[in-house]
Amino acid sequence: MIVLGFRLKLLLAMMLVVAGVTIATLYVTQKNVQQTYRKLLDEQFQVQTDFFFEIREKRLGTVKERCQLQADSIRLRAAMEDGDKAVIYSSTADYLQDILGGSVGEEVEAPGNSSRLRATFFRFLDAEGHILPPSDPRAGLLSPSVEQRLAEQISTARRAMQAKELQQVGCLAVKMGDGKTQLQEVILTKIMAPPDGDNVLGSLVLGFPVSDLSEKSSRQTSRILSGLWFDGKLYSKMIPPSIHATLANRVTEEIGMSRQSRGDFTFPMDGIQQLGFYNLLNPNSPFPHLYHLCLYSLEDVFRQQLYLREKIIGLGGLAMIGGLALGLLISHGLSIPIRALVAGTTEIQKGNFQVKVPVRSRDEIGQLSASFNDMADGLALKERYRYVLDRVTDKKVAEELIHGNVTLGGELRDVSMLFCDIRGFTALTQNMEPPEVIHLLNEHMTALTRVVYEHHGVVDKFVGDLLMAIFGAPQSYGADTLNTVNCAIHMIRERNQLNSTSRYNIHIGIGIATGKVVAGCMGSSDRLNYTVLGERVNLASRLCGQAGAMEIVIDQTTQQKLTGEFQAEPLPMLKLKGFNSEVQAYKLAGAPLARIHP
Amino acid sequence: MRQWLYLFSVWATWLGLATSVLAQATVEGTVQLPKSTEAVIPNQRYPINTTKGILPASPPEAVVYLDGAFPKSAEAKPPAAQLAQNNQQFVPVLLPVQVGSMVEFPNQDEIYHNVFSYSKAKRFDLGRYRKNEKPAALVFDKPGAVKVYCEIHEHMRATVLVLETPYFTKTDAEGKFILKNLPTGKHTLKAWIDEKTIWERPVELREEAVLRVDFPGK
Repeated sequence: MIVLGFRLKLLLAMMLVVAGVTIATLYVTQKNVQQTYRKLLDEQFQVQTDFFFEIREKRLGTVKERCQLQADSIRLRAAMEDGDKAVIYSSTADYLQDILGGSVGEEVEAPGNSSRLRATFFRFLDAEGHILPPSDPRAGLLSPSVEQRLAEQISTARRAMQAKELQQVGCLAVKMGDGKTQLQEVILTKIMAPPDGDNVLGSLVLGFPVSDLSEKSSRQTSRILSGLWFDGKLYSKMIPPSIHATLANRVTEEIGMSRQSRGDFTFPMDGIQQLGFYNLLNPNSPFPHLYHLCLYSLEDVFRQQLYLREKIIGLGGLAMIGGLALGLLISHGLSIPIRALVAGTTEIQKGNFQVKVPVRSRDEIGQLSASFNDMADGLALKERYRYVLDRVTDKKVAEELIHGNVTLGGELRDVSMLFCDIRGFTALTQNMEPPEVIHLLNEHMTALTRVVYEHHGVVDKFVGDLLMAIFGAPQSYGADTLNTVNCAIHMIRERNQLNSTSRYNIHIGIGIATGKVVAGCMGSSDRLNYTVLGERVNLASRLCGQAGAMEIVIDQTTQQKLTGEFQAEPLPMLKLKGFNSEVQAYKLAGAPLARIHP
Repeated sequence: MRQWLYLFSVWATWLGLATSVLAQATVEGTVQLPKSTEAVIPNQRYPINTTKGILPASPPEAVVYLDGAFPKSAEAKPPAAQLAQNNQQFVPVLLPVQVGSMVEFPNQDEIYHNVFSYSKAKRFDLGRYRKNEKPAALVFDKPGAVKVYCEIHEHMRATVLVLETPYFTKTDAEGKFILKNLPTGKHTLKAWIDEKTIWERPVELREEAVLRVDFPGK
């Protein structure tokens, strides 16, 4: 399970990375495409604007010159000085008659050929900028309201002209006879006397229908929708009339908000988004602002973006699958050793320190495996130490020693000692080979040691055929003396049983003594031995010597602690080595079986 | 006897009239003339190609005349006045004539000139003509100032001042003038500098008296 969790994490991380990269790429490319397109369209728009000026210059270039010439002409100036309106209009009409005659209300299609260009109207202004009402019909007469509006517009423009400027071209909107408002390109030329002087006699104004950029030329494709925005209205041939009003309003908004002479905005048309560019054509002009407007379809952009998006998402998906596979592969490569480690750890938990984990690589996993093996070795060694310790010392003593409870030095305790040795051992083993002797002893001691442990005793030491056990040290288990006695009885029985099954027929003798002894670790701090010391110990040893085959001899203290079910026969007073006075001992009769376990 | 008396009265009347007409009043004075403008550098459509160059613009002049309703004399019409084109300038720049006078416009240059005017007092266009060609002489029958231009040479300007009165004279370069043989009585003396500057002074003329009038006056 751990491996799966780790694997999952790895895979998730990988997928996240791939997803993140895909999204980032998507975002960046989208932005880039948009920007590139906008720049491209901006450039195209610039070309269009330049084109507009070019066309206008082509159309009106010569006309402007003629206006200037006419304004400079001596006759016109003479006439203006004398202030005779009729003469002014008629003489100018004569001079300009080849370019007059553009019918009011009718826009003339002039495909770039200026010789067919016809002015809609011309007017004169006096020195103060007020229009002189025309008297000659060739000047292009308009209805009175239109005339007045035109007069106002022209006067405003004239007043806004700088003192140094002699000629200006601009646009005005004129309501024609059929009710439709038409854009007129207006050339305003000052009449000075003398021409390079400062005295303004008046002005000559000439109006032409504006060049609509719908004129076909080799440079223009039919997909660019362009028009002119003037005073809140849109004038265009290519842009469908149905959206003129909304588009014009939109442009008005944009211009008002941005306060800049150039900008762009998006605009929906027939369900397709368009990018609209607008540009102020006459920034420092006395005429009202005229904006050039172009609409470019964003369909291509969207299509390209969609294509890119699909491609990127597709590739991203593939990358994710690839990443997944790679992740699985790598994690699999990791999971095998990890699983082995986990299994190994489980084994160690169970206690099997012999486990080994294969070391397959030199990376961290390999190092970990090697370390694990070392650790297992260490644990196994410790286990062996413990094992040995337990065997060499008593288990309980070993435990106490490990826990650090036993230090050098001893304590006075009430302990029962049990000595058990083999009768006639020397004679028995005289003719035996040493390995056999050891085998005999091992078998014997193994059985008897088990019995001692059953009765909560501690095997103090083995001395040849002698087994010394203590009950009540290092700790007491309750009725230590009784335990000792039961143990002795059990030992006899056990030996009897073993005699019937084993190769050897051995008789043992047991001696038990109880009393205060010194119990503790004796020796040096580097090499010590837990044992008991005291007179009682000697007594137990001597009593053991006194015991016959399969006999248990106990001392008085022990006998006094016996409970009813035990039978102890007093023995005659014993004279024992090491004891000054005679000792009263007892022989224990056969023990009740029921009392074996504590 | 009655015939003589009739004749005598007629003669007396005529003498009286004649005397009043032929009374010798004189006015003299000075007109303050405006400063002369600098010579105009022409903006030429046609290049200047006289041998002698352009005459500098003439100093400003003024016409002093006695305004009033005077009977038309039965004398012969005054001789034709001339407004010549000389060295790409009109000579004189200010020409006073009496109503009904004839004015000629001879071209004294080697080049073409085209004299015309749009003034209400006289509108004419003489077309282009050279030195040896004699254009029609014009009769100026309406009083007023007639501004004369040359279509070819934009700096050429002149004014023909058509006056009802026969009593007029031009000042000299300093502005001094003398008007002789003026009829006595109360009249208005006017000084014409340009269309916008006309000074006037009511005068009372006495016989054999010389009146001193200065313009614009004190």
